[in-house]
Amino acid sequence: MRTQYWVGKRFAMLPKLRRTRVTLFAVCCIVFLLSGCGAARPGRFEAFAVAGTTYTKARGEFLRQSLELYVDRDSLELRKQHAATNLSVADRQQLLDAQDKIVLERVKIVDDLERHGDVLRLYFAALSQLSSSKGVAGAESAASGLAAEIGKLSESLGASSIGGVPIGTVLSRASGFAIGAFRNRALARHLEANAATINRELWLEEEALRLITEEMIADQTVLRNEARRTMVTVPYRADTPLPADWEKARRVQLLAEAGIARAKAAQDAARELRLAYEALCKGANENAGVTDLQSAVSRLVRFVGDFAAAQTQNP
Amino acid sequence: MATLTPATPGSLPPHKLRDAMKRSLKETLERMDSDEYVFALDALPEADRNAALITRGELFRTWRQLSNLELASIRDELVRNEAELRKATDQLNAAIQNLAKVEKVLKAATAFLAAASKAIPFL
Repeated sequence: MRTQYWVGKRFAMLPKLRRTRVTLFAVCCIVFLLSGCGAARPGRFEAFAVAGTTYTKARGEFLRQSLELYVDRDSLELRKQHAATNLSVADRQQLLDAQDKIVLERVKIVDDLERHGDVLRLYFAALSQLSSSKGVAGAESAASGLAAEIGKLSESLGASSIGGVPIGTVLSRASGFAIGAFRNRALARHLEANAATINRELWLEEEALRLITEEMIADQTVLRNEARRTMVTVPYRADTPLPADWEKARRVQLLAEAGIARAKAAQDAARELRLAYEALCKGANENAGVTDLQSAVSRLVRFVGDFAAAQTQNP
Repeated sequence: MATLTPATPGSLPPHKLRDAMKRSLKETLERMDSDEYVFALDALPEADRNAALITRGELFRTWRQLSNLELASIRDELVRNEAELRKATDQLNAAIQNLAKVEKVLKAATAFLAAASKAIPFL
């Protein structure tokens, strides 16, 4: 009897405020569920996009450095052919023209790749902006402002709470979720619509960087071999006394040779970029992918910086 | 059980043939750059040395041309992908603009409610 009275009272006299609480709770639940719909993880997207932006900047510098070595190696090969004693003036002119043509072809290709790198950089910049927590901070703050105003509008609503949490805070959190859900869905839609394009782009990027890196290492090796032969090996094989700075020359050449393989950082960074993107698309255990990418890109940035410093010291 | 036929230059597709040639040229050039080869060259009669120097130049140019050809084909593919990449970027920018619009609408609604709460203290 007492229970019937209690239940009856609860339903018959359901206050307006209680209905509001129930509605708000339902809205919060829907918004919370919606926020998971995108299956996109903005934090990882952001880390990927930031690493991608850094990569595109370092990549441009790397391409220019590869060209410097390309031309230096070309000049060394021309110098070697110049030593042939049976060449006429016309023959030499022909050799010079032929190799100039090849070098200029390469410069054109690398220019095109650099220009294409700008398009890739714009893509990463946009992805970074959308996935960045700063990117949605304005909308989130506006949503929180709106929630606060709703709270102020009704004194009874403002004073009440759900599960001990003030209505204003609940509304603010729910609106934050809604903005997050909007962003997540935009990222998920982007993945669905463009995965094939970005995947193809990163495969091609990796192939280009692999080829350039292999050639850069080959060029650098030949240039170093020549320098070592001239400054270290030939003086040592001769019967004459060694030059005063022979030890220093030997140290410089040996250490430089040991560092040649570091150029692989570019190829590694391009590969990690593709792998990290594939992991983002699959959506499982991909933190390692982004961490590997960040580490590979850092190695590339260090290599490019060290190379530039070495070129300044020994132009 | 099928018997595997060993690959011959004629049976390789063009890109595989190019890769194999490039690899072979690169290895030959590496051998020609070894101390052993270079010092042995100095000991050769002048005519042989000249021929070796010219051969090295020819191998080098062929290697470079093949390499440029390969890189140019990758460049062409990247350029072909460029329109799609720009489209993807535009879509991301559109989503960023939509987010900015949401922010604008929310701010407008906040301003409206702020004004309303002053006019009507209790709902």
